[in-house]
Amino acid sequence: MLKISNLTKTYSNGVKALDDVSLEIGLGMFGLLGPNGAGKSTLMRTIATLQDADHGDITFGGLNVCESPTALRRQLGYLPQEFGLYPRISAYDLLNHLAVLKGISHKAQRKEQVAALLEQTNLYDVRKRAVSGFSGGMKQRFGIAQALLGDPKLVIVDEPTAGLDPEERNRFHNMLSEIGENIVVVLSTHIVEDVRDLCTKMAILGDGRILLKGHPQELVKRLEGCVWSKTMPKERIPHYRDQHTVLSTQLLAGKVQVRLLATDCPEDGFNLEAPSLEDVYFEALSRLEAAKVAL
Amino acid sequence: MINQLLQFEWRYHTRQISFVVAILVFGAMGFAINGRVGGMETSVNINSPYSIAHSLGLLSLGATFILTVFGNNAVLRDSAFKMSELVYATPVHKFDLLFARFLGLLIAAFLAFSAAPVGMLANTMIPMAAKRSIGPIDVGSYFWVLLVLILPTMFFIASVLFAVATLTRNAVATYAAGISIYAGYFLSATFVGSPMMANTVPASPEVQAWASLLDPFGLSAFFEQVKHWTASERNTQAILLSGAFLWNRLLVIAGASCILTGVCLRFRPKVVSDSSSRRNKKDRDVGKTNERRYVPVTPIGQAAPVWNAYLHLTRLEIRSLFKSLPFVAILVIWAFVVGGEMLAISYHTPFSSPVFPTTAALLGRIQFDVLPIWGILVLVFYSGELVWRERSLHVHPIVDSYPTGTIAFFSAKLSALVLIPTIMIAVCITVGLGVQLAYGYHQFQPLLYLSLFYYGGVPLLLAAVLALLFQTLSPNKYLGMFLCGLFLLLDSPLMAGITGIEHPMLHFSRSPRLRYSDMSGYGLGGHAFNWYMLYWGSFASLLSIASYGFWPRGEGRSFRSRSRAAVGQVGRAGLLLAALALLVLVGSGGYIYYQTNIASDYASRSARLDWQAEYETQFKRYQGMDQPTVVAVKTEMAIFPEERRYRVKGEYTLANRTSRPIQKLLISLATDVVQHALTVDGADLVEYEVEFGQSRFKFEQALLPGRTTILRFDVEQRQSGFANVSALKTVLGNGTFLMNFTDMPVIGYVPNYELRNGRERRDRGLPARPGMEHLEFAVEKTEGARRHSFDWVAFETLLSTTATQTALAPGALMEEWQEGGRNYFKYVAASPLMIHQICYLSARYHVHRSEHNGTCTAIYYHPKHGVNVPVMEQALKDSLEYCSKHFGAYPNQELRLAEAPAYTSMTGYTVPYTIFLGETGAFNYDTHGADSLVDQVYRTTVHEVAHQWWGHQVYPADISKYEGGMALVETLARYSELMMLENAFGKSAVLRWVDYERERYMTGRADERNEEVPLYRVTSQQYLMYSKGSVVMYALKELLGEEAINRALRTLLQEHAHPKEPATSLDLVEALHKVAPADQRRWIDEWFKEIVLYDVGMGSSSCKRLADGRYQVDISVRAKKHRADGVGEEVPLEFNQDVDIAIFAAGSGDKFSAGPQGRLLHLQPHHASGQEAFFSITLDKKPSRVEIDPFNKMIERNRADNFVELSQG
Ligand SMILES: Nc1ncnc2c1ncn2[C@@H]1O[C@H](COP(=O)(O)OP(=O)(O)OP(=O)(O)O)[C@@H](O)[C@H]1O
Ligand SMILES: [Mg+2]
Repeated sequence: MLKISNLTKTYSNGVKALDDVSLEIGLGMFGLLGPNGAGKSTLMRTIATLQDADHGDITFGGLNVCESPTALRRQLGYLPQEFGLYPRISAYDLLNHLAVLKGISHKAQRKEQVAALLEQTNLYDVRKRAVSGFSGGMKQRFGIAQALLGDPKLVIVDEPTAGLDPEERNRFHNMLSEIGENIVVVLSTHIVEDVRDLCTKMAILGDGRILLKGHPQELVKRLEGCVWSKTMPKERIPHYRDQHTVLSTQLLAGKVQVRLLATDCPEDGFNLEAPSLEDVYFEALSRLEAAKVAL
Repeated sequence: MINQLLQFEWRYHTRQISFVVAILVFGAMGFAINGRVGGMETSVNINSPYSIAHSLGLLSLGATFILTVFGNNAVLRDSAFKMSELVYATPVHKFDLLFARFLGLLIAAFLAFSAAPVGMLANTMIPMAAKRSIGPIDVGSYFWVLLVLILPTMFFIASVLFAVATLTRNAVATYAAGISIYAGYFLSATFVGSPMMANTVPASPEVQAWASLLDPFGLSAFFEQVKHWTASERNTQAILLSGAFLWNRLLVIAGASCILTGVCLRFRPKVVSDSSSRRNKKDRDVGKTNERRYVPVTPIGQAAPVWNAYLHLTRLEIRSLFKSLPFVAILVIWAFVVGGEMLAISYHTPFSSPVFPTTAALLGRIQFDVLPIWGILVLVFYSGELVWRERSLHVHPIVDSYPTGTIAFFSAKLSALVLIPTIMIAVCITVGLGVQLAYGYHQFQPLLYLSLFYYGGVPLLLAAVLALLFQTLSPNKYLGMFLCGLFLLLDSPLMAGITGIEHPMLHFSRSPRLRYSDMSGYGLGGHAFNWYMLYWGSFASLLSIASYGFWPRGEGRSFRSRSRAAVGQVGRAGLLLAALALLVLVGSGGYIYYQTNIASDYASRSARLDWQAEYETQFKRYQGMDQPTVVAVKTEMAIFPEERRYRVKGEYTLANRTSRPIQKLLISLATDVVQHALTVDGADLVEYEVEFGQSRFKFEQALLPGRTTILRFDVEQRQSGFANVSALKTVLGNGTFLMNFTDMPVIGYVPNYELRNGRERRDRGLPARPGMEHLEFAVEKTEGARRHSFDWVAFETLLSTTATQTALAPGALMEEWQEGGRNYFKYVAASPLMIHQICYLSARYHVHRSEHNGTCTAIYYHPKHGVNVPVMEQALKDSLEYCSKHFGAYPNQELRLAEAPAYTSMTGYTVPYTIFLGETGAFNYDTHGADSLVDQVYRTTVHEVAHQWWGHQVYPADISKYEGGMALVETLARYSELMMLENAFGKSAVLRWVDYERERYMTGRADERNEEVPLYRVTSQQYLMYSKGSVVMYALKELLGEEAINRALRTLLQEHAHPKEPATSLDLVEALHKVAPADQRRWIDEWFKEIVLYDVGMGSSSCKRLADGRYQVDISVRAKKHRADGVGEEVPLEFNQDVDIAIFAAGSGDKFSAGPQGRLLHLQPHHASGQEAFFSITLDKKPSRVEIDPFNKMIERNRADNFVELSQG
């Protein structure tokens, strides 16, 4: 459905935010994982027709996005990572206003959908309150609601769960997976669980490049038998860093639990662990690190 | 800590573009203003302490803007950049933080402002400046002014703006505060009569005193301090930190300190985030099941979605506009500004001449300057706010990804922007109606009010489109505002002199002079306005299509990619529309160009000056050539008001008054008329110079001395209102005024064409024009051969106009008839008049006729302007009577008074047989205010009637050769006026009036650009001919008596009326000498031939009751006397002369009558000498007030110490 080919973007300050990114994304939920500054938002803004890329193409269902942005916008629901809302206007009025802008001009339908979305995002009770008085999470939910206005065929959500409490996050996950069956949903995040819970396919982005793509389970499976862990004092960690790929370190009662990658048991006391998606993520990033050091 | 914070602020400010821009702008303004304020071409140095203070003082008003911008940068940057959490979380003491912010702001702004003196200094040092007078360069004077005048001012303004910015955290509120400081200042300056504002009503001394004290800019106190400084004082004296100025500065500093303390106390360094207020209220209802389910809705509705979106977007824009406090504040301020302007029209003070608050007057007051300027300021600002709103609120990632057509966003912004001036105009109308109601004026003209939406609104609509384009293309809101403002400023006609952009078709959204009056409607420029609006409207359509094409969506797109997208965005319909607009632009532009440059001969300023210079170079050699004199003029003038056209055929009788035969004749004719015929009997055309309208003829047989010949001409002019609009040469649908002797042939070289401005002459290689000769030399040289400026001619005309109008010309009306739908009038002047007095007037008039002692009077007035006609009639009657009785009979059988249309800007003008009073002058004066000292309608009328004697019968010798001519015209008319006012309104009223003139004289001489001359050598200085003239003549009358003065004037008239030798002011002085006793003649000389100033005051005063029931008043008089030279350098003189002392009783009777009802107890000259003289006066009745020199015989700056109210000792 959504096809991204050789997308490259360099900002005017010289930062190369996207570097020859190619992806093919089909129906269902697609997770885009990457650390801060990886270029996720840049990619999403470009898909959402807010920005031009220097090179490369994006097509959606055969439609060239760069050439006919309006056609894509008709099918798009977009939640930006950062956004503001108008002051002195209530949630209901604003959502209604945005619905008009999206082109839902049938009044009754609009009313119904606006109410439904407010309900689904648990904002119905505060619909009369000014959005400028919303908390961060409420604002985020409002953003989700507006992204789903109309009948989007492509939903792009940039860090949608940022600022949501666990309950709201759950609610959002349910909603998304419900609608995500028949449309394309691209979700960017640096939270691995989001992808694990929701996505059927994913890609990891780092420094503007695609480091890895595939099904989450398959990617996890590839690391089976290679992830070891041990709890040790902090001072010892550098020692392992030199010899192995350290995936993660976690504080545990004053000591540190280290997970590292090795084909065999690196040392006594290490336990073989079942790999997780997180390990996949860190493995990809550490390869990126290694490549940089090599340069 | 503070140090670090301050360094941070410093780095922050100096890195802003606004800092650099401010430095550049103020440097440039300093450069530009140097030598321009306070006038003073020769006597006051352009770098005198006074000029420096004046220039910097005016620029300090502009400092408000830097402070506003910097203040916003400094205070609001955290919230604008979403950093407030960070900044406020750091453990910085709040006082330190505020202190550093404020100090950083002040230092940065002060530094930016200091570019102004640098610019001024640079201007002083450029070689060009050397032509003007420059004193030794003293950097200290700049510092002193910066220190005492500028720094306290900026400290105060900064504290106010800082308070607003810190406490509201709202950029728009801060801007509104900045603008209101600026606007409020101008408004109050108008009311307190600051010398900064032209034509302001002088306020009462108390108001002025308060103003000096409270004026935050210190300008009122400054002006008060220097009011009477002469040129030499201005050159040497720095502003004194004393008196009102000192108090003002102290108050300003104290006020600022209070405000800052207040800010410190009120300021809570808490994050004002949107969510803080209601965070604790839990907004979730767990367990509640969701009834509504989300169902996708395909966004295709029945109604057109773009239209729908446009409506919603516009509604949102408008709603947010009205819900924002700053916008409401701007409207309120606007209402105040408009109200202030409008109220001032009919505001009565003792000396003002307010007019009725007619709709035309009210709108005229704001329509052509206040509304455009404010409208553009607000538009420039709000275009930025509106266009960048989504981006500054960061909503744009959401809405820009929507399928909504860009046209909806664009149109909504444009609509909201256009709504702003529309609302401003609605406010004008509402306020106007309110003002009319408040003044009890009930003749409402709703249609005229509504026309403001067209005549005032359309230009602003165009400006809105332009501002929108600037904001669309600009990468930054403030840059867009700045560039747009800069563009509009540079492109305005005001700056044409500097930028060289002169052609009216290049001044965006402007049109040639537009003006409305009851008589002429929008006749003067209305037609041109329509065409110009079509022209600029089509241009603006192109601009808006461009803005639409470039409308920013998303972010970070390069200009290249946007321009690539623009064509696609605009689409085929847009391109078609653009083509259409282009077509209209070219069409209307072509028409305007044709009317301006081809049908009328438009010339740029420099082209005109070149023309003048070229004329002089080519034709100067003919100046001395013997030429015949015009002795009779006979014209047939046909005026076609509907076609805005006239045609005049005429005959001159030319006589050779020289003693030699004349061979050649040079005739010049205005170049903007069509010359159908120009022939001279007995002479052949040798050469015709089209460019200068010069025809050279050669007589077949020389014209012998004493012989005459006839010159015939036939000239036509069609006016379009597009170019060459001249106030004194206009044909209109109603209200034609043609003072068109300049369109008639002129014989010989025309000195009037010569370039006057010294610099322009130098630039074109012309020698400087010789200055005027000292009067005595000129008189001596031409003894017995003095001439008038113009030829005296016998005049008759057959004047015709359209059937509904009456036409007037100087002369007795011999016949009047109608023929072929036109009115014909035949006027014949019984005695010769001067050729420049020939003029024609045609309008729809009502006539009020009457007769006084054999003279028929008629008042011609616009049908709606009849209110003041009865007063005028009374004034006509009184003045005919007074002048005829005292100066000599009125020479004609008729005296007409006609209303001159407003566009002529005339207050009064007189030609033989006819007086013109202005439509916006005496015909609309509202004299019903109880405050007026004298009835201004009466005053203006009698003054103009007096010119039938002083100016017509006695006409001064050629005023381009002999100084002092205006003393015979204006000073004597003023004297006659004062006498008639005294008869009508009493001595006390006239004395106050004279005192007011004394004050004007003092201000006038202080503002003199060149050198002050004694009254008898006055040339064009109004403060001398009118003001000093009034004071002197009144004092003379008190000294010698009215009868003696009138006798002298009568003799003057008898000896010098045409055709006798014309008079000079020396003849006036001599005539006065003759009626004065020998010992009083020195006063005539002192007043007319010298500049002598006194400083007289009451030393001590006391009053006691004597044993015999009488009263003894003891007073001392302190007196100093100086003679001043032209630049005000004073030399002390010995004081040894009589001083009038008047003593009055309490009560409400007539102050100057001595009878039982009157208050006057004592009025006598007492001899005084030395520094202080003591007098003891015994009176029968109880005295209450003593006045020294009640009749202004000793001209002095300060008369406040000449009076004392006695308290019984
Ligand atoms: N408007 C911009 N101008 C210049 N550089 C930018 C701009 N936006 C992003 N960048 C840079 O591009 C790179 C990618 O940024 P992007 O916002 O796409 O990352 P991200 O993956 O979304 O990060 P995060 O998880 O923090 O949201 C970063 O280095 C960032 O600094
Ligand atoms: Mg991001």
